[in-house]
Amino acid sequence: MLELINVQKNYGRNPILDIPHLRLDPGIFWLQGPNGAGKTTLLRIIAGILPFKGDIRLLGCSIRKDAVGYRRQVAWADAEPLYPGFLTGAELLSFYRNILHPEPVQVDRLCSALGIGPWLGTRAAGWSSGMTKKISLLLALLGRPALVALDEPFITLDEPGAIALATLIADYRHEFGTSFLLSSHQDIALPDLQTMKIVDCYIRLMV
Amino acid sequence: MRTTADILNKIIVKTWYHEQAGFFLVLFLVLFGAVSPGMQLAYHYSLILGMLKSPLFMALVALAWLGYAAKVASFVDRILMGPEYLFLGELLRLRRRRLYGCFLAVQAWLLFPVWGYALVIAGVAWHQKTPLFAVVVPLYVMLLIGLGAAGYGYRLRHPDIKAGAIPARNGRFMPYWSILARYLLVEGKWMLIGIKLFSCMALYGMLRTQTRDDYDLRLPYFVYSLALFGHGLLLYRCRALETTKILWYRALPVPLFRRFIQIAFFCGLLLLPEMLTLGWLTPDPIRITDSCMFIFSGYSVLLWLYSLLLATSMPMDDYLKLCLVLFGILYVGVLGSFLILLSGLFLLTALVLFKRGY
Repeated sequence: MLELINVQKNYGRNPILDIPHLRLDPGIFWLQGPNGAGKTTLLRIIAGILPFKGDIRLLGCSIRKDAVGYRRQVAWADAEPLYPGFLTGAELLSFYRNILHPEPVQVDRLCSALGIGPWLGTRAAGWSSGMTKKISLLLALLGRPALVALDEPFITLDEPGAIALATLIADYRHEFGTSFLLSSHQDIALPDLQTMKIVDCYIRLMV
Repeated sequence: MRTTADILNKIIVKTWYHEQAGFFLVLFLVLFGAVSPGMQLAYHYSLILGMLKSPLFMALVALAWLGYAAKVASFVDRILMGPEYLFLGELLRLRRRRLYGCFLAVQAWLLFPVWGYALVIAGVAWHQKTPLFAVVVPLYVMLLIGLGAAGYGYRLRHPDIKAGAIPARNGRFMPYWSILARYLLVEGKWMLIGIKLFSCMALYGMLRTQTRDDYDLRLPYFVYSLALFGHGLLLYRCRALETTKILWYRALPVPLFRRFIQIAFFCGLLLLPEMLTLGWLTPDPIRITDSCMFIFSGYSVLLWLYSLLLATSMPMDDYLKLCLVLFGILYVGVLGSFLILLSGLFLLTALVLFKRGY
């Protein structure tokens, strides 16, 4: 499903990632590594946000050759998402809808599961970090992406929110065959979870 | 206390003068670049006499100072409410009077250009035996400093009072350019207003004096290019927003052309007041071809600057230096009558840079 070919990323002269080749089959992956190992960088590279050397293919679609087609299949939510304070949740949702064209039923389902309906009419400046996180997760789960990259998805979520997210991940995997790449320092309880570790700029799949 | 003052100086005062380097350069050129060095004293003396004799002129100066204070307040507000400066909330542990003292010092440094000139005005007023102005002018500036400092303390104690000034468009279609435009209107409005006022008034004032017999666009274009320099700062702020609070847009499947159209429209919108001003002055006193050249060169430069920032991230210092060099090149283009050629080149390279940055 996901193939990383000669992916390299440096910050200045410091190499952060150097992955000659990595192939992941569909599934749910837990990306581990100490602070500064490059988890966030890797997720941003896979999401098409950060420039890098090499190539990434998702279901055969190369980010180099068809950037839009690639991005159509991948979704991403940041560890500490930020939005302009003057935008409301409804405006953000409308912006995403205009690009991703999700089914209205899906939007209702996500709003209801994450419990953010009443907050959609309010501006981002007034949201708590937990609410901002929920909005970012809602936006990342819109449409039918083949892969969803979530950076620290459980931090700042309250307990019902964390349970709802875990349920949504399992449901998406079961219903749509969506794959997930999650980075987290907290324990994750999800079925068929596969673990990966970033060690010395390289990714190792843990058996 | 000393450490607190040092930290506030570093975070607020230094950042302010650093960020506004372009604005102060323009201000300096306007105030001190108009006459030869030997005539500076006489020029400013006569300017101040004009203020003392005409209450309307003095009122305009007071209004400009108020505008500057509002611009400063907007900047400090951005700092105090910025997520990276949340630790400044710790200042609330200080006694109110002490906190006020800290902000008073900060505000005095920020308004240094205002009270510096106000003191000179008060001195001249005293010398000219107009004691009312000698008292009122310093009092007015002290009020600006005192109220500003009190406002910062209030803002720190009430972080939740600000609501967006632009009405929300819940559920309706929202194009990407509108996010950038709203950002400038909400969080950079004073900078935007200042640049637009300077740009349009300078264009109007300089072009109005052109006659058929004495038609020379070199000086108007020089001033116009200074205004474009200010627009470069607006674009820098927009890119800073894109790399922080609109980072998610880059992960969305937006085709290159669609994104380019959004930015091309935004740059056009940014230059709209100048286009209207030039349109108003066309065909007399400015010829239609020259008017189009002003618009085309301004637009291509804005697009080039945005594309450059998209293709490569650079610190503000380097960006400002590059902008200065760029406007120097444009001015050479005016002197050598090849501005159209240069502008076309900028437009083409903007397309290449945009594609690369995308």
